[in-house]
Amino acid sequence: MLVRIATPTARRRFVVWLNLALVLSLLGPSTVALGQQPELVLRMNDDLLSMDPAQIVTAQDHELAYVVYSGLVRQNVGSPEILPDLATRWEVSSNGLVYTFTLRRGVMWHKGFGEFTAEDVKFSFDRIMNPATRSRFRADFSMVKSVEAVDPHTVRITLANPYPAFLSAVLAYRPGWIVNRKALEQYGRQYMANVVGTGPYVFERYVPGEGVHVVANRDYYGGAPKIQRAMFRIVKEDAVAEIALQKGDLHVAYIEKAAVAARLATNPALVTRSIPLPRVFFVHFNMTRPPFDDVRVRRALSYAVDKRAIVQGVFLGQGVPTDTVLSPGMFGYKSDVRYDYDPVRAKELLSEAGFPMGKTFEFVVLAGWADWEQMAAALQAEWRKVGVNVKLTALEEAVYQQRRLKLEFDLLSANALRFEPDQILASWFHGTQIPVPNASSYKGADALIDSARIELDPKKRLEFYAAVQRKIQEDAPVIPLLNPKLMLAWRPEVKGVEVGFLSYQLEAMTVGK
Amino acid sequence: MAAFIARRCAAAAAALLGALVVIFLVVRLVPGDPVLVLLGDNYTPEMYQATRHALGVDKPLPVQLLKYLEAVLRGDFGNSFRNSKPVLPQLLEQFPFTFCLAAIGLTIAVVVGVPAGVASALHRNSWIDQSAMVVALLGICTPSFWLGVLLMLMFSLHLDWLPAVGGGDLREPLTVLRHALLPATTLGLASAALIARLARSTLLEVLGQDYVRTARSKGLRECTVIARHALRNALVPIITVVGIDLGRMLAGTTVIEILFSRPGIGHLLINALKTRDYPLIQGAIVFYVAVIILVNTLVDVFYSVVDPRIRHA
Repeated sequence: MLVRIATPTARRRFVVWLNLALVLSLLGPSTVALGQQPELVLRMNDDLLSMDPAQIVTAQDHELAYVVYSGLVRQNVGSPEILPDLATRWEVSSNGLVYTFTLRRGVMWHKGFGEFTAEDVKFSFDRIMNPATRSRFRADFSMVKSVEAVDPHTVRITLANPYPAFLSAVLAYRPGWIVNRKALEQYGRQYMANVVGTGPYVFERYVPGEGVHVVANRDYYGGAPKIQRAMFRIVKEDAVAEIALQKGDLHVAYIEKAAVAARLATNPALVTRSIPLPRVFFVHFNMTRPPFDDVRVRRALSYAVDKRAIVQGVFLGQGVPTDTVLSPGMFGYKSDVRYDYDPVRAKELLSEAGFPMGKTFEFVVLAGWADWEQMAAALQAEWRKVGVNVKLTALEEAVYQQRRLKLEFDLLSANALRFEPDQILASWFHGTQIPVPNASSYKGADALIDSARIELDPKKRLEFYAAVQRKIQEDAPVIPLLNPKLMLAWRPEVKGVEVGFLSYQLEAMTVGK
Repeated sequence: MAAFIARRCAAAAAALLGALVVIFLVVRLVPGDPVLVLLGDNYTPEMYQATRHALGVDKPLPVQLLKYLEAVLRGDFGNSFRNSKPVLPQLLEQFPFTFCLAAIGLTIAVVVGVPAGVASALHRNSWIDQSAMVVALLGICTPSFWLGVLLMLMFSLHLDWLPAVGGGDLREPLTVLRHALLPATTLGLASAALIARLARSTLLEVLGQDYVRTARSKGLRECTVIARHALRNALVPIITVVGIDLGRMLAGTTVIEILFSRPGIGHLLINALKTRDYPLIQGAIVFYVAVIILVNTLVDVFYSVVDPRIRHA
């Protein structure tokens, strides 16, 4: 029906009301159909870098890949146990070289890409080993001699030398996620917007800069997830995530900054849990430069740090002080040698070593990472108390990496996050990995690390790891500082929140009232 | 008029080419290695070399520059190092969000700034003038990230009127507008303050001119005197500042986009800078430069409409 508006005054009034209605409709709820709205919004702290398991390195890529892909096996949540996933069972030959996996039947790829078979496994792993792929995980597969698809439901992987950490360090980790050949070839450079996996959620839509929408995989072999639609939303700043959580723009979020975590912990409107992660913050000594080639100097600087005070003062209790490079709960974790705060001892060691007092050393710190800059300032103050002067140089990653590669530093900030001890020890503390990531240029534990990684007897492996850690602690190529805790915060209507390794256990969550 | 516009366009093209070369060199002279960021913690020297070669950063700088210029002339801005996708579509995909933010921001700046300045000038030294100028001073001094958090707390958390994060869905223009209001206000208020102060001082200057007195003595209504005679002449410096401000505003969107977790070119640029994604950095900055040159050219043309003397200078 046409409305006729007669008088000019009425017309003007109509226009005013029309404008008002427009403004109100802007303020009102969104006009997007309700069925399209995500039931749950999870925080992602930066944009995606890659959704190709051969290239995944960032935490946010990992979080998302975790719900979209699956591997042959997976890590249990909160313990070092390995659970079946795409493989229902597996056998390892007595010499530790041949792994035979029996695959789950009837697993379908997302978006109609057919049934999952042994060929997919062979394709995924061969692809990582192929130099042309330029995978970041090629080195992790260096001990793999061959991958064979024995029949559609059996895969045999043969290793060149025994590697008992193979399941946990390789197959249950990022390179272990299985990809679909057809999807990769069909989408090419557009693959990141069209990811195909076998996990509990289907990758629906990627909006660069905004986030990723996922929908439940009703055919998921682990049971259909309860939440039908979810969104991973990019929120870069912790303080903004705090507001978004309270407002309901976010339902679940990881928080890194201690100050925000401390505020959230006392917020009655939200539920929080601080999770110990297998992550360690430490400082590298440049052992190629005097005076840090002298173990007495390295020990002195270790004694001079009050780790407890740093955990309380800088991390507001969101962490646990540590003296070793493996993390509590990790297989083989043992801390025999301690560096309790002892400035007197530190001074003695320094004068014994003839430390050049009055000289200034450069401490290179990766900027913008958790609370590292504040911690570096605290360390600087601690060392000054025993007469050691350091100058702080906070650098963004691209420059930090350059300095590390060229060994242009005296002291260097570092962090390692892995769940398998071999991933930490063979990378950061083995002579073959100098200078990256073994920036200390440390070679003292090579023989022990090599023995541990091929030892099939778990008991003997434990002993080796204890010995490796003791050796590293005595030689002090690094100062292990603390295991930071990560806070997971969520709105009370979200139930079933479990805490994983860099992953939201989305398939277990529900939203109630 | 046509010759004037042609001259302006030729100058704009030359400026763009110069900017292209400067940006290309500056981006590469800054310390930091894109290959190392891509490779992370585990890589071999062979992988390092292979990646360098694949990205094309192993060739001498002049060769890289010529290849780049040649490609740009064909409309190809290269592929991003991060995700190997072509740069231009990525920029165009994000542009609506940044444009929306800057356009609404600029509108807020003008709509708030000019009337506030005019009111101040007309009621010189009254409480209106003084309070407006104190607010403007505060507006100039307030860092946008702080103002943004305040607005977020107020309008998003306490009043629950507007979303705190995100950019909305492009398929639903209303959601995009809704998501842009808070960030655009944050962006616009600082510029509004600047424009208000400028509008006040130029208008005061013009109001003292002889022709304004003449207009008044002709018996024209005061509002006609202000609008037709005074404001029109005061407009030239204001347009200049608005033009310059758009450049500042585009740069400002970067901070705002990160704070409000919005998609946009600024967000893209920050990630590109962090990873030394040369093609994407170059693309984004060239994009900004192109917009600024375009706006400045338009401003020049606009001057000549407002003030015909400029056309013949």
